[in-house]
Amino acid sequence: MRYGFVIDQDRCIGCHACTVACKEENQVPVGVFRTWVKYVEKGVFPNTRRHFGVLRCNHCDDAPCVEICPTRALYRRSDGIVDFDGNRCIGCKSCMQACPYDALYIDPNSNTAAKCNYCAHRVEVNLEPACVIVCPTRAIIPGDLDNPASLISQIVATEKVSVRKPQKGTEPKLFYKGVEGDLLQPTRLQQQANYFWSDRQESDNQILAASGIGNPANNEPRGHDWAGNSTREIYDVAHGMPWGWRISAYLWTKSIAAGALFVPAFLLRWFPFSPLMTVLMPAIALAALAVTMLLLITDLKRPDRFFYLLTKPNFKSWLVLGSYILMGYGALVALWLLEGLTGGTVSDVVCWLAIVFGIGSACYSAFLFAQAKGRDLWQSQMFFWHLLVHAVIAGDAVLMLTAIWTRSSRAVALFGSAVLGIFCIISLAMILAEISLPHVSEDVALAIGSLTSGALSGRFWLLAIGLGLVLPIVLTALAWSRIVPPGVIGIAAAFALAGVWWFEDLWVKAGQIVPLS
Amino acid sequence: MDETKNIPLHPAARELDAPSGGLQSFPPSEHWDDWTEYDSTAWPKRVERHYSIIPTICFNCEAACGLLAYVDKKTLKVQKFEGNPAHPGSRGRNCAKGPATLNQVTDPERILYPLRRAGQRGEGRWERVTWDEALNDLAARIRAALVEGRKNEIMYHVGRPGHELLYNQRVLHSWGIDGHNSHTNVCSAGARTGYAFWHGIDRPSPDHANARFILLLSSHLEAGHYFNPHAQRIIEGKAAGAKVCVMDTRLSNTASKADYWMSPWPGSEAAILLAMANILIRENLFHREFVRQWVNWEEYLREEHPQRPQTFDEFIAVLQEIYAPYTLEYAEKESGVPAKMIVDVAHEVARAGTALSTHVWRNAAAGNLGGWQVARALEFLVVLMGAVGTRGGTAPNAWNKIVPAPPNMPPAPKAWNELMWAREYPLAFFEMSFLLPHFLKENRGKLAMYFTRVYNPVWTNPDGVSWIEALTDESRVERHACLTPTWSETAWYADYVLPMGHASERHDLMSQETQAAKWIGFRQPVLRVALEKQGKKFATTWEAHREAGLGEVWEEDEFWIELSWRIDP
Repeated sequence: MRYGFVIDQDRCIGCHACTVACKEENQVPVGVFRTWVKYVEKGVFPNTRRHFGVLRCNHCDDAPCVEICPTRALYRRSDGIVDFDGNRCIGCKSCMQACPYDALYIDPNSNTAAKCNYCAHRVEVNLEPACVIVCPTRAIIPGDLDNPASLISQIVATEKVSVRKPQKGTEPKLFYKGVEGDLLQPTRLQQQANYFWSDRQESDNQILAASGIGNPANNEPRGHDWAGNSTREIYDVAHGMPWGWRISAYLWTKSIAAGALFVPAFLLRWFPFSPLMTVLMPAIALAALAVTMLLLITDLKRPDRFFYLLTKPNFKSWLVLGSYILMGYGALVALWLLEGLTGGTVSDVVCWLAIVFGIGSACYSAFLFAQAKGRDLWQSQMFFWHLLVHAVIAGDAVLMLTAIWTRSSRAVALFGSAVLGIFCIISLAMILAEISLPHVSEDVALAIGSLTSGALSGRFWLLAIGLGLVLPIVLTALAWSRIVPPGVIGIAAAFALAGVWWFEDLWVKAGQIVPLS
Repeated sequence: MDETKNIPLHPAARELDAPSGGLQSFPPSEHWDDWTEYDSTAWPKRVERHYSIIPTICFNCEAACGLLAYVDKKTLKVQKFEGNPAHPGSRGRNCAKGPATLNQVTDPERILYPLRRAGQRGEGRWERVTWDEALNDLAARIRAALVEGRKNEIMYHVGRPGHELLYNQRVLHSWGIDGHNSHTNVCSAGARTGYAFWHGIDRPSPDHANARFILLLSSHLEAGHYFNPHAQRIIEGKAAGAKVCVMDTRLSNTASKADYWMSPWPGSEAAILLAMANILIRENLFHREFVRQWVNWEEYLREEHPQRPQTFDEFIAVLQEIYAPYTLEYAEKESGVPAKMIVDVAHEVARAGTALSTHVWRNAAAGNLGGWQVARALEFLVVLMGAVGTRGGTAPNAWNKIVPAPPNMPPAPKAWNELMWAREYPLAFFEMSFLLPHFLKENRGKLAMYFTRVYNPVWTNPDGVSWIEALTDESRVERHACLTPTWSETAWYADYVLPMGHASERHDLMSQETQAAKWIGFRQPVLRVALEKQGKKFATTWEAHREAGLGEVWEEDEFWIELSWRIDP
């Protein structure tokens, strides 16, 4: 049994009855939608037409939202419906990043994620979904895709149907008949400053402004042809960026927390134990880790449920696995600190484990971001190495600054500056490679484009590249060449540390500017 | 599972396929009195909700589609509205406005109790009164006017009528007054005129589902009266192979679904239609026998061309002469629509023969000076093709509408109200309602009692300020009672604001020519019905609503009856 939908756009008249019936049936609040009708227009008068597309959850057989959901609040039922349980949801919004179709939203009343669930509560009493029965033109056809005799199976088998983003491998069970091709490919659409009947929402405009896909301020398309060949998006519902500064900040503080210990752990091969290494650095790591946890929890829409990560875990979700790694790492940091405070040394076992868990803490986010299947940019295999290099830079910079500030070890600071310079060069090389190698998809090209030449380009080139990487490299080189006083390496460290923040923040933003629906 | 459960309830609905996928579209009717569903917001927790499913009729346009109200047995609140599968017009399906009825019912700003003005008119100060107080005051004023022979000082001005016009006529005629005013002259009067001059029936009833060609001067895939029932059947006809032409200056959703979209200069539609008529006549593509049998050509020749031979062939020759000036070049120049498309559509019309369904209601017929000629020219094509009342054709609406006449209709009153039917407009088709404030200002009369019913001229008529001036002049409009479910700009200038029910809160008989079939539907106050199913009895609907926690919302039918009693105690 596999329930799915066929939406026959040849029959659809774009009347929004499905939207409203769904809202009524499921008590969906104002401003969010489980199903909605997107309008596009193409052509120039008189050769122009409007086209509709009913968008909603695709009830994917291989649903990325189910995989990423840390508390198993999202699940696939045996009949193929992808359902959710708001009572388990912690509001982490990762499902919104995993879904390539913008199907999920945060319910503003319950602060939990929700989406079309095929009216599972109706299916339970043998009734069709609310959108199906209301449709004046019978354009929404529900049914069992496993039953070859069902109408839906017959249509899928014999008609020309298409699905949204098949390349994502999600195995969607929503099939469109007679749909305008561009409508299903949001990056091909030319954005408009206003919608057909309404202004666009602020969150929407920010994304557009950042994306460079279309400039809503003056209605002038960028990189698209306005001679009537492009398809114009004239009505849609707003989808903002689910993840904001807290997630960027979490990546940053996590880099510090991880690097603050595993960098000293390496250095301990060459430097003797000192309070800097045994007490100060683990204390900083612990503090950074605490801030990291705090950021993660406060970013939840339901922070009161953060402990569900432990009590209702989905071990396929890197949000859960990451939490365990962070907790393990936290324990090791505490152990390190304890050993440092009591004996002034750190055992080899703790040292090695701190390296392993530190790298894990720094880098697991690459797997989490890769589970965010909706965001092509974050699928980059380089992200793991970015995070590792960032942790080294952040840890090293903090170590240098602490050493300078406490005047504890000039040698550590100098050695650290060499590490800093080298890793900034590595980081720069990786970023340049990332942006200049051919992009695997249009979405990646758009996201990278926003960094290199779009709305984020100023911050990218000036802050992330210029002040965050090039400046520290130059300052370190000058200091080592004794052209400038050695104290300048502190400045280099401070900028490198800031550079990590700038990059993480831009990476988080750029990933989310590409419209999914 | 019992197989019969999947068979649609109503014969008219059986033309549809059985629900696909094994699921049912609606709860089986034998369970409507006690239906259990799970709470969608508590899901996946299985929290049972018990409903009484009570049929009623939508009130958000004139189509009168069926609704099922899910009345929660415990809270006595309407949980949701779905379509009624037994309704032959809407067949269980609705447009967005059907389920949105819930928003009206639960509107936090709706009027729940009779209100009386407490300050100056338009000042916005109100006090709650009882129905008794309101009725007694209104009845006394009406009685005084009737007794003193001031018949024309009582007027009922309606926007959206609920019950059949006939029922209201029955009330007003029994009072002996000419007091019914409408909004029609800012709405459908243009189209009505065009149709009425053809066959005395002022409204079309197209059979889109069986048409071979559908010619729309409307946007009935997204808007307008009968939108939902028409849209269903336009798409059915299209799916069965009919082609569609839409004449609309806008790129409407309907235009977007058309095989031919004509976007003429506003007001030039008739030029295109007459050019098509010219093609049909010149190329001899029309239905000669139908025209010979049903058009009053003999009378026409006798009156207009007594010198010419009085034969049908001669009549056709005259027709050719009359319509010869409506050339393609002329039509293209007038309308901006390419000549080729006009020819193509004319030939589609010819191919459709008697299966030509057409429709205009407001659109070009309402928005332009002389718009009635657009409807007249459109119906001309229907007549030429003999597509009047045929399968797939366009019937006069009386073919498909039932007006159940109540017994004991009072005779028409001996009264003529020149505030509506002014002498200088002898050809007025429907009341000159938009001139009312000007007539009052010119001292042509005054109103001792003025009712507005879901009519908001302050907002919707072109010169709202004139209405404000008239309505605030207490020497011109002595009492104004606004019958409405919700606030409006016109209610603001009333002396009484009297809460009338939404779709699910009133009794009305409905029958509309939504498709090529006749039906009659019954709107009922669902909370009252739910309570009565629990064994309670109520003299009036407002008492039932009070019991159900819906203030003292009433309905017109009972209101008029009660008011009439009090006028003549």
